Amino acid sequence: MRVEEVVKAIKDKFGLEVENPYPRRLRVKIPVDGKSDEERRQVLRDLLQYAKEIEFQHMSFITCVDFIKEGRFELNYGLWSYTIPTMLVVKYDLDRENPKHITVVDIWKPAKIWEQEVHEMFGVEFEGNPRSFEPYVLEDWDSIPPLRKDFDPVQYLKEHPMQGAGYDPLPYANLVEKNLEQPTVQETGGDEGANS
Amino acid sequence: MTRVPIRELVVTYDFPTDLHLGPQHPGIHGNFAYILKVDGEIILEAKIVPGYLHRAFEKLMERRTWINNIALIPRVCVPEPDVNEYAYNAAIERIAGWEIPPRAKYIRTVVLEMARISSYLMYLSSMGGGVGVYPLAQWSVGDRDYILDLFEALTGARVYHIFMIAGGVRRDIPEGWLDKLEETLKYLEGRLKEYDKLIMKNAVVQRRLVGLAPITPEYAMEHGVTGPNLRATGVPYDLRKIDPYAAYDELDFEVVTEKYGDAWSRFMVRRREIEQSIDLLRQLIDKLRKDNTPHIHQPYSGLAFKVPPGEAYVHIESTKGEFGYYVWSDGGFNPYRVFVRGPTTSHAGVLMEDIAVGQQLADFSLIDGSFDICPPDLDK
Amino acid sequence: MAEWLKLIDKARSRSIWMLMYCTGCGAMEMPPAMTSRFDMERFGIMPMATPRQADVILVTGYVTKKTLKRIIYAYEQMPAPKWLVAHGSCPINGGVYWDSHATVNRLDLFLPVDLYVAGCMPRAEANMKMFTELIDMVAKGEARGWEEYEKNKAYYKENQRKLFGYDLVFTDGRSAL
Repeated sequence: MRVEEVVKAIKDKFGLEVENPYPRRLRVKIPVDGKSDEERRQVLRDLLQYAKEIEFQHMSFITCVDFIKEGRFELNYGLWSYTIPTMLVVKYDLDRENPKHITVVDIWKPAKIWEQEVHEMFGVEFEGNPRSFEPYVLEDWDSIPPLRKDFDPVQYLKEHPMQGAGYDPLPYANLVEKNLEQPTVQETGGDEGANS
Repeated sequence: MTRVPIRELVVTYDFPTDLHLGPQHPGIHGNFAYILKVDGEIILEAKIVPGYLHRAFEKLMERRTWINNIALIPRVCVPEPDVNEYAYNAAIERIAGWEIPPRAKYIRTVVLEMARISSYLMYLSSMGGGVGVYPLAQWSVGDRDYILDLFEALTGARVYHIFMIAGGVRRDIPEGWLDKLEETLKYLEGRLKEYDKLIMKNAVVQRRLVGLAPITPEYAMEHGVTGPNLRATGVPYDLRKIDPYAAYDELDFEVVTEKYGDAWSRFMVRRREIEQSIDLLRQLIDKLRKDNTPHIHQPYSGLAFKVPPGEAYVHIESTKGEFGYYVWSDGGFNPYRVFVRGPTTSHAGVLMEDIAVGQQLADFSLIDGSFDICPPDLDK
Repeated sequence: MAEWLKLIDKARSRSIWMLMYCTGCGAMEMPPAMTSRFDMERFGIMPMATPRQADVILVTGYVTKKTLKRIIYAYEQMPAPKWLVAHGSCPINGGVYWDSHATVNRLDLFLPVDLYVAGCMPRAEANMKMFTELIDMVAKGEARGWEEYEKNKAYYKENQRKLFGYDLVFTDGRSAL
């Protein structure tokens, strides 16, 4: 099967637009447009099951991006095919205030551990995967899930001074937040900064 | 050589107990733990306990500028740090739409192949220690130091190089370095023959590794296995051929596979890929001697570096498996989100928990070593 | 009696056994120190499997909160005299991970450190210099970290309690000694 055939097959079966921005990379987004959560979840599960039938042999990752200004989490399911060859990233939006979702571990086995990581780092609940509710890399964690954009690690270290002692974070943190006003690459004449 | 079936050898007591193969253990490579449920000698269940090396890289990368991150990320994969630099920089170049000059591609590929040889030698050393053949463990690490000397002459540091930058590499090859590389390659080829004398006809190595934890291609792909572990089952899937990056589409090589998918096949795939890397490096030396293009795409200032909005995923074939970086940019001075796809996440979390069931406790440390479980890229 | 103790210190310094626990990234330069190029066994230093049989624990690099608990357990299980060496810039003040919510920035608030090694990561030659320094310090009787730990036990235990939120005890009610 070729990359163009995959694009056509997904368009015919599900009515979704597939982008091809770089060679061997496909992206498809499951849009909200008025559908309920159950219908969108069913489309996601059917698409992941269909991908398994059309030569996508490997689940690479499941990850999440926090778009705090738009109030959503975007889940990304990465699938890779060795024989076509191409990558397919399926994107799915979740509400940031109430991130409840369903598991896909019965379709793709590696989801068992990727969903555990997304749950710990972002707080997304995957119903149907009991392993995903257990702690992953943090022990005795008492604050909000750390990879969310409203978690500030410097503030956390100020509240836990035994952990943060030794390096006064205040002066350096201000520098990073200020984001020094510098001209962009086109406006500079070309500093030899990279070669020195 | 056949293995004596397990039921004739061991006794079970019908008394399952929990065993913590904890972080401080001479049999586990790195700071990693397992909780096993054992009954006598047979393992009934296995569960990983990750997180002893967790530094929250993905959060730290959002707080530093684009070029500042390159000094931070080699620490994600400790035995082979150059794959991180390559994947991150390639993702930036993909979003920005930069075409890098051929000399930069060749130098990057030379660095990647040298890192591959040094990481495979470290694997041979840890397998030698696990099996009990200590000369192999000592020789491999001693020979790996010659590669680290070459790295020091080229980049300035032995382990964390910070040599690749968005657009190319930081400086050109010094004079006389290519001759030193050729001498080292000739020396390493001679040493590989000595290793073969030690392992090929050695009854201890054959008895311990042949037939240990075999897997089929379907089982491997279902559990998310990538890299040399997958090629040892018989399928020729190598990302350098299928999804070429750097200078690999101009080089001439065959994919190395083995047939049976057991620990001996995994060991031999890695041993034969050292020879393949030496051959690739020789081809690259020829190309570098004839090439005169610049070593970086365009000069710029590291503090004033912005990437246009977009997202890109780059994955490369590292010695552990498929190593990927997914970078999201929103047009600012810092990355918006960086996701690191480590190969050990599927190997340890999905594969080890299934394959250890039914194995003997005495073999567990060797199974863990033969799949090359390396915890830093799981914990990030 | 004092002369006998000096002789015993000299003998101890030539047979220091290190605990086999690679706690962080600095452990990548330990195999070159163990093999024939920078051979450390000629100084009498050998890796040993369990804390009860080891003399020195090498904290090679950064310390996460999860690992610190196990390092404290291992340190308290080692019988005196015992030493602790911290590699790299991360145990001194946090290093490159100073703003990470998972790592601990200063190690010597929780355990007594006898020797620091600079670098990120420290080279194999720096590791060898560290071994010779440690041997000199032990032979002269200057490395007394474990006595400091015993004398200021309340201070260290209070810091550990503030960090973890609870006392580190073994399950049978005894403290982790």
